[in-house]
Amino acid sequence: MKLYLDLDMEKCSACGACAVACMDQNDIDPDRELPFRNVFCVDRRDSAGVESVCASLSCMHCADAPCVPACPSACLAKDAETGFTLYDNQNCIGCHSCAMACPFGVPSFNSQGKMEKCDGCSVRLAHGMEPACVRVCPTGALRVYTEEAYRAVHGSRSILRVLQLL
Amino acid sequence: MERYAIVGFGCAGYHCARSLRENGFNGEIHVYTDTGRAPENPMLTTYVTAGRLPEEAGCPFGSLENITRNLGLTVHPGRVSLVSPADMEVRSQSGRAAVYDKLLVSTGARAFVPPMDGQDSPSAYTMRTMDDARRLRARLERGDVKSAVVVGASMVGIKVVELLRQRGVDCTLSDMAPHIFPLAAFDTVAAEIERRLERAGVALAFGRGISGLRDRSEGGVSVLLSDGSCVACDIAVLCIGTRPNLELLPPGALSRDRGGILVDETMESSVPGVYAAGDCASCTNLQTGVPQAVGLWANAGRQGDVAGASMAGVRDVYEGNLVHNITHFMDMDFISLGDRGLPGEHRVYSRRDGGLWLEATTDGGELRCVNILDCKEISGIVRGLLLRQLRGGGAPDILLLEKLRRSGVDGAFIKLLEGEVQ
Repeated sequence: MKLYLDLDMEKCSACGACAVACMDQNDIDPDRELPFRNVFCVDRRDSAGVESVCASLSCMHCADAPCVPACPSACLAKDAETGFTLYDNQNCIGCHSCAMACPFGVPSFNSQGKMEKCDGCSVRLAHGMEPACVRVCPTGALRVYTEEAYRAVHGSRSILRVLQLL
Repeated sequence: MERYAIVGFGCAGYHCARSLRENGFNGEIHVYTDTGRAPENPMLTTYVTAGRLPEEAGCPFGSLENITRNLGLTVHPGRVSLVSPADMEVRSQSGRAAVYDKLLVSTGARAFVPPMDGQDSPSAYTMRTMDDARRLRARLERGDVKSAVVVGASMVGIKVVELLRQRGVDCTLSDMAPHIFPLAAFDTVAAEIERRLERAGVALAFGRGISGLRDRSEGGVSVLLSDGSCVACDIAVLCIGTRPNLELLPPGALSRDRGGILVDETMESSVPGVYAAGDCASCTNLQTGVPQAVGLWANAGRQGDVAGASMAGVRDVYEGNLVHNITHFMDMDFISLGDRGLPGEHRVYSRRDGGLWLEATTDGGELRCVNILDCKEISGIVRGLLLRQLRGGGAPDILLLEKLRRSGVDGAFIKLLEGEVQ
């Protein structure tokens, strides 16, 4: 069952609850390690004026993830069932080729020099629980969808958009 | 039933076989491998030598037995004596010949040792294959290597220096070029790396090429340099570069460019039905438009994927190569993005001890080449933005730029990425 870890930017308030939950879930030491999830609130300026953009970003779990073929030790792989980009860093050599391949700057490295990143809380999912970030998101901006549900939600959003434009 | 052959079974050959099956090819796939082992990653040899990886981890796609079974391959171990594109024939050294409907040449590259006196010295080592790794490791485990000269200030050379220093071996790093990483690093960045290496106890002998090796009667070897000097040591490790393995092809059988087999965007060579991928193939350099072999693991994989799809009759294209490197050694990361040889204005954006070094060449407000030291986190974003620029993409995402800002990237560099600098 293919899954999507989705962010609705219209609902995100950049409160940071997701990042804290992620660090807690993954035992990240904020003094020495980078979190798997980052929260942003930046101003977008254009001719129409200034707009605040809020977002919470982690691994995009790209369909054609460039980090997967870039890893010389084959530590990264697409999960056949969920479509998430998973890793087993036992043979990670800390070469940082994955960091170079990722256009979103996602891979981080633990104190042993081995790559770590968001795996969509695959263990929680396997036990019927939501990812930690989704569970705590107070506005419902972060959601996990099945492929079917994702298409239904995004399809209706597109229709709404068209109606608004009309 | 159609019969395809893959000559050379490294990263590109494996990816081609997998891609053939994924794209619906049900015919015979014959794989020729001189090692008779699973595909190895040359990049992992220094880690196997250092004992940081077990030898089996040097074969990231798993065992040959599993690969053969999963992909339905017919494997022919042993050396090939001839690949004839005109006849679509592969001839092995044992004398067996077979004709195929399509061929992939993925013979890779080998360590280059220039013809010179003493090149076969028992104290000389190369670092390309698992055999090389095994041989050097066995020598180091004897425990009597106290000094070494590493010839070639390349990405491989520096990893060899690192593993030798970790064993307490006195090291001299030598290169004909005046600075380390001559194909990738700006002189200023190279000078900083060299300063750090010297501080870590590595002796540098640059601007002098190797002219020969002379075995010493008391053991070890003398490395003779082009300025007439020589360095005595227990072992010499030659990391001078690589050359594509193309001796199996009759001269003129396939068009070549800059040493590699010239291929189009589908990885097809000048002979229809014959494909090439990996370190033996010359693909378009995205920045210059000129064919160039850029030997990188991910490139070889992607090229193999495209070759496999093309051979199976499914349209796929290889966009081209962007010259880039990332190497982590002795507590630093050196990253180079883009072609260092392209003309442009050289600018220093940041020089922070223990923080971020960022320098670039630009032309008309566009990036040409970027050097980054000590800030691997930004390498992927900068690479992505450079690719976007090459593809004529629009303004970069503000969230990515914010991520760069948080990593300490200079505002002037971000303005350049935003297209606000001409």
